[in-house]
Amino acid sequence: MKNKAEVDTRFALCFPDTYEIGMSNLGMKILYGVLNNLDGVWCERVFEPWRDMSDEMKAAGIPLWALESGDPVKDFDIIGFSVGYEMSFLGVLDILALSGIPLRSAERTELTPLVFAGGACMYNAEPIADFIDLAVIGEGEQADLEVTELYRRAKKLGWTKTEFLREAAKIRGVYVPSLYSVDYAPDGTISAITPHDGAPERVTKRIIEDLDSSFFPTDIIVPSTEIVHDRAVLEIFRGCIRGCRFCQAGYVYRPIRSKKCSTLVKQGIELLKKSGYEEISLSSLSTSDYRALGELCDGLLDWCEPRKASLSLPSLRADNFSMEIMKKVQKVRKSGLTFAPEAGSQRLRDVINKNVTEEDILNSCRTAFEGGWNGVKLYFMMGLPTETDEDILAIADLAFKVLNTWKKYASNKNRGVRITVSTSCFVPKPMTPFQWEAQDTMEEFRRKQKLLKDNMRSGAITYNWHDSEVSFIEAVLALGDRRLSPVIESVYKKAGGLAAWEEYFSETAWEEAFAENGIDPAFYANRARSLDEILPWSIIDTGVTQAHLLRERELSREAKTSPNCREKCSGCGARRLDAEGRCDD
Amino acid sequence: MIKKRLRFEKTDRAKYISHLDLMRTFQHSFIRAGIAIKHTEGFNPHPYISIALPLSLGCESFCEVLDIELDAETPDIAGALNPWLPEGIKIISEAEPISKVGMIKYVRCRVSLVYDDARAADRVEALRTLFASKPLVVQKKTKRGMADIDLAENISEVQVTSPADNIAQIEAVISAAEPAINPTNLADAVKNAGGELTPDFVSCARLEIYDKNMKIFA
Repeated sequence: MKNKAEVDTRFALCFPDTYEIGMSNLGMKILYGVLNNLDGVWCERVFEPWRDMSDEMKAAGIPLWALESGDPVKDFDIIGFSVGYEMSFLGVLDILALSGIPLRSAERTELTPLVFAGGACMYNAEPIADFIDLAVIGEGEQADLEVTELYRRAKKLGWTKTEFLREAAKIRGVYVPSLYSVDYAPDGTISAITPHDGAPERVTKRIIEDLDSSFFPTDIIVPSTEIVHDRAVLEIFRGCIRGCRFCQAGYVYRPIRSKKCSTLVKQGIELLKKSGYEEISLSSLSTSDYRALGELCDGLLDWCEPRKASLSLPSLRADNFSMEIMKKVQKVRKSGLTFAPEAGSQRLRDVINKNVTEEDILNSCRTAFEGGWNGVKLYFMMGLPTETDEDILAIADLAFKVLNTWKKYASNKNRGVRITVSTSCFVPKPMTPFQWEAQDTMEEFRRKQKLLKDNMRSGAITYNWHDSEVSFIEAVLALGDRRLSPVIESVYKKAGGLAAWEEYFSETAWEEAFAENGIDPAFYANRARSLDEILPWSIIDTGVTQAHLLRERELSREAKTSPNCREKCSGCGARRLDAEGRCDD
Repeated sequence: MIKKRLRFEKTDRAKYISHLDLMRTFQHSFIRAGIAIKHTEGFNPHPYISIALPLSLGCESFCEVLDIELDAETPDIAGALNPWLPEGIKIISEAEPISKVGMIKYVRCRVSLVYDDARAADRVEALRTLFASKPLVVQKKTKRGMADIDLAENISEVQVTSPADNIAQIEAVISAAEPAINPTNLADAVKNAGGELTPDFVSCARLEIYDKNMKIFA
């Protein structure tokens, strides 16, 4: 821990959800490390307290504090949020309110505290535009430091907040919402987004070009309580070669950048030694697409096996899942197995460019069942573009075929089989080829869920589904604009934070808040946008061109797939972000 | 087979680490300290680490017992492990175990009753009288639901003092097994008495553990 007296800048790194969730987040660990590597800066962690705690704090007049020093967050210089989930927008307000910091950027007239946000949700920061002073778009390892250094300079030179924000807008990847005015057409769509005071026409996301030399945290804080991902996490590559059309992560984390196997083995062993964890999990969007996966597993297992540590591989694909890899990871402990076909029919899987066939899925299940697994989880999305009832029923058929595969090939049938089918509700996401799509209405989701439930005929298959109410709000926020800021504020005032939690999600609060602010949520969630509409996030440049998104959208309409990036580069544009134009090299 | 018995303290904020979390914390800490704990054989190997008498959440202790099995003889476990343990948890001694954990019979405990009116001393006599009464029945949670238990039969060497204006303190030796009395059961007896005795806050601590002959357990 740093000494207060020896630093000039106090940074509160806030995660707008609970400790157990936030401490599991790799981005938090990375940013905590890079910020504390700066001399003169002390970065501390802040999480959203559970409601019983925040009620007691309010009753006793105790403002929210940072975990390391115990000092009130309101006395910090910089309040930085990592926002990876739309429902955490409420958590941002909760942390500000519990700290006693004015919610709106306009109400905070001084330079200090500076409130900013980063993370996947900032590709469309508009719904919280009124609350944050700036957003960092893309990877924060360097940009956050640049913002912090500029702040230190501003503080030293006595700049006003306005002077600072105008200067900050010049940092690549920094978006200052207050420097853009938004005009609306009579039909409610955006007619213009206009930058002011020298703010850039487009804000281009930041990337780290070389992951091997980039900071990776091995000296991590190990919680004394159990957190949701209570294990060591090793990030193996960023980006994804697959190009699933619904997947925002697959589009916004381009270009593809891998770490060398030798770097990973070294970092992984160091991480296990220093953290004391007995499990290490490889993190990426698609683990089995890491080219040297076998070599990496061997390198880690050589160290893990004698020490009884286990290796887990999430995000395996059903089309290149191998028995060899599976045998490797089950040497110490056997974990659950999950595949995500996403759609039940081949036609719909082609629409979303999943590039996984039924044969792939059944072969993978066969491999797993022959290898002694007696359960598999299958994830699907409902409400994908062009979906019909036939596609829904195909989910049940596929689950049934998986069950038959078990009956035919299981090496050990004594323990029975557990097949779990889960469906989520599709939320169209900005920066994807489906960003123009309408979400299914809640009624439609419920009807489809019932249809599937009625057609799941076997007791060996468990069917779980996500409630559509939350997914509807997710869509409103994901696709929303800055007119939603007052809605979010009034929902916070009615129902408080922790909005992602079933206990505290209040449909009524949202309905009332929409009505009070004259907002029709269906305008955001259930409306198909025309292709020339100015979208709220259109000034943000992820590197992927509009032309590419339109091309992919067109192909989806014809249920045509695109080859993965390794088979053939589709020229999405993300290479431009790398100084040397590299992608997956 | 190398067996070691470590005595440790769990004080201050560490009292809020639950038993299961504490087990996990020790597992991590042994690895971080480079001490190889022996693991069970089989499909899901787990380390040989056990805590003799799980402590209630919120209770401090100066006499916890942690038994481990090691792969290799390790000198100065405390010196290696302590830097990795959270604030409030500290190994104070290490030795080969002498008795089986089942030999633990008594615990000396301390229950501090906080009175915000700072008139704790006025209550000392009433508390002495309360703990001299026979029977002294409280309700205790068991595996089969709530049961009545007579504290008078399972408690000895009771001392009531007031070390500070706002604190009345009960120190006593209680039965640790058959039946297992928890320090909070003493606080329950005070709360049941009610009225002036009702404390504003209670904190508990374990001070020492003994076998059936009142010899310090080792």
